[in-house]
Amino acid sequence: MTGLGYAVDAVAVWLSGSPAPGWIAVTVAVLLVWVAPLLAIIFPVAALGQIVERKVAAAIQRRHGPNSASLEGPLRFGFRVLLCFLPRATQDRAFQRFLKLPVVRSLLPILQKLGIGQLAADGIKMLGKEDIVPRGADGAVFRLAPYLALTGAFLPFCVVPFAHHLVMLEVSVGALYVIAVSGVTVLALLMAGWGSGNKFSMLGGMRAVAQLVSYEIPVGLAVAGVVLWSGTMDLHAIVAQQYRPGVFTFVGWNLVQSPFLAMLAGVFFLAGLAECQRTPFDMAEAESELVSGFNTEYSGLRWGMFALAEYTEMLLIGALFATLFLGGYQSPIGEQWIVGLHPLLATLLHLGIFAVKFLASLFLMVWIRWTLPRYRVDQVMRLCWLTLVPICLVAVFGLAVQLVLAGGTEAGTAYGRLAALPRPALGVLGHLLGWAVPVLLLGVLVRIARRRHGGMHPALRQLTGGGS
Amino acid sequence: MIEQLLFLVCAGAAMAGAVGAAVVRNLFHAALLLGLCLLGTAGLYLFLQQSYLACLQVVVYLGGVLVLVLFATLFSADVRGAVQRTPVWLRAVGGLGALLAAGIAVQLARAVVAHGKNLLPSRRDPENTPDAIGGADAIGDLLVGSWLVPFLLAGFLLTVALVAAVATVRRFRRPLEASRG
Repeated sequence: MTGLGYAVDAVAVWLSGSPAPGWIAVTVAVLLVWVAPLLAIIFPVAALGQIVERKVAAAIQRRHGPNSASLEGPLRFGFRVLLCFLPRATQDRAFQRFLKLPVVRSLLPILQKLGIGQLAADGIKMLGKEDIVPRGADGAVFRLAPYLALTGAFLPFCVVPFAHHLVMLEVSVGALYVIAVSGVTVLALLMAGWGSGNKFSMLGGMRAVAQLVSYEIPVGLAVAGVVLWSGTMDLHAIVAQQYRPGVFTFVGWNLVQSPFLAMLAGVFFLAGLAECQRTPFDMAEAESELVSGFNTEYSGLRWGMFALAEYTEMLLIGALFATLFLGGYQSPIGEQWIVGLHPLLATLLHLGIFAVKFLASLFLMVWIRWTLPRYRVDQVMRLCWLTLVPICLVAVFGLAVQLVLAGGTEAGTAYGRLAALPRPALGVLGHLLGWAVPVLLLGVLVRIARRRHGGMHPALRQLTGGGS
Repeated sequence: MIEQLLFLVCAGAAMAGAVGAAVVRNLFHAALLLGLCLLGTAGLYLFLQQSYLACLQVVVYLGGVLVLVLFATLFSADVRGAVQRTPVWLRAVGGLGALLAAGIAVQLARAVVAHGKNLLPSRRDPENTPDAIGGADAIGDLLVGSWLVPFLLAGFLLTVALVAAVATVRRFRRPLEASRG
């Protein structure tokens, strides 16, 4: 065993054909298990996020969105590169023959309608743009920042379980690792802001850092709540802990396990939205006041890296939300039958389910972006400190009380090849308290809001045209 | 083979960062190099099987302390270090510090040379492997075991600080809204 995780071990043993693989096999296994998924799956999926964004935006605004950029140009370019050892005429003949293939002929227009051609064209355009470093910039810091941003966005994926045992790195402190590694983004934004040698960038960078540092508290508290509930920091074990045998598997999901966890889920999603600087929290790149914030001075590929980092972080928030609160890659109904299937089939099914879950949250984020206006910078901070942090504190406290009242743990059911995890055994009192307290809290909140705003929030009243 | 190479990278990053942070004149660069040093140290913790400690190092020092330091450097009038010269007495203090650090390094080296063989993984006492000493489980047991009172006090202090932060913001809320009209 290499100590590098189940997946690396399995691939290395399979490659070398011996139970004790040599270092060459281990290296190849590391490349296959860790590096390849990053480059071959997360990179293109994050790029596809941009297309999802533009298409959903177009649908909301009753437009078609990108649908005219042809894929022929990029494909021809690809052929030229791949067949560069052949004469030009042969390349063209091969390309024409490729275009006449029935699959290609039927598929190309669909892909073009979906806007994939736009994606390819944008990518090539970005590669070709001049890489400008302003004269007043701090060269090294300016150049390094995009790489750091991308690193901070990609590394957390190492511990996210995509399917049963399909996780790059099985570490016992997965939840903490995610929070630690994604904190690197703060440094990247500060470096970009300061390194640009531009007041707008500096202001944008400062805003971004203030926002990220503040919103790390609700995110951390929400994750801490889940860790408290599950009794483990291993994301894989957290997923396994949400398994229940039976037809309706979703009753085991953390979201419906306790109302306090549901509160934390809401806070996690909102704070996650703020962590990836999306509307309504995109104060850092408020183009109406700060040009483009910390990435004002960036052009070409370096700008592309920041954009890619943003979409990767959106995917990460979606994946973490699914893992922590929505049972990870498990199916909502009839998970026990999927576990019983052939491992390969089960893995594929789990991958599909996981993709649906995090695409749904991606869609939700895009929907929010194109529906809501942006918060002012002080409102962003106020929402964090005056609303989200108190909610988190109350929810974590309530969760702890509920766990104490539960008075113990019961042995869970073994999930697939994962051993059974103990989980809280709530008595009648625990359940009663768990549901009564939040309902009471909600009542008090509504009461306060009514007294303050006379029945309806002023904004809502204005929107609905009067009435109480 | 790979492990040794990675160890050299981490140790090199830690040392280069430490030296750079002390030598470089540009304050912002010095702070970033300090970050490199902290990151290298986190990597070294991983080689001791202390993933929990490494993660905490990154959360607390890179995500918290370093950001604070960077903010503080930006308040300096002379971030790029182009104008001001270091006073002589400060240089003397720095030299004294360097001497002290060299002494500690020599002592450490002597200790490693004298007892180094017992530190090798093959000679380790299985009861006292680092994982049993400093894993998340072991630290948790210690915190709610023999260190329960300090742990609770620290937790209480942090919660008070968090609630106080919220209360401080709340106090300014009314006048702000009033001034907005």
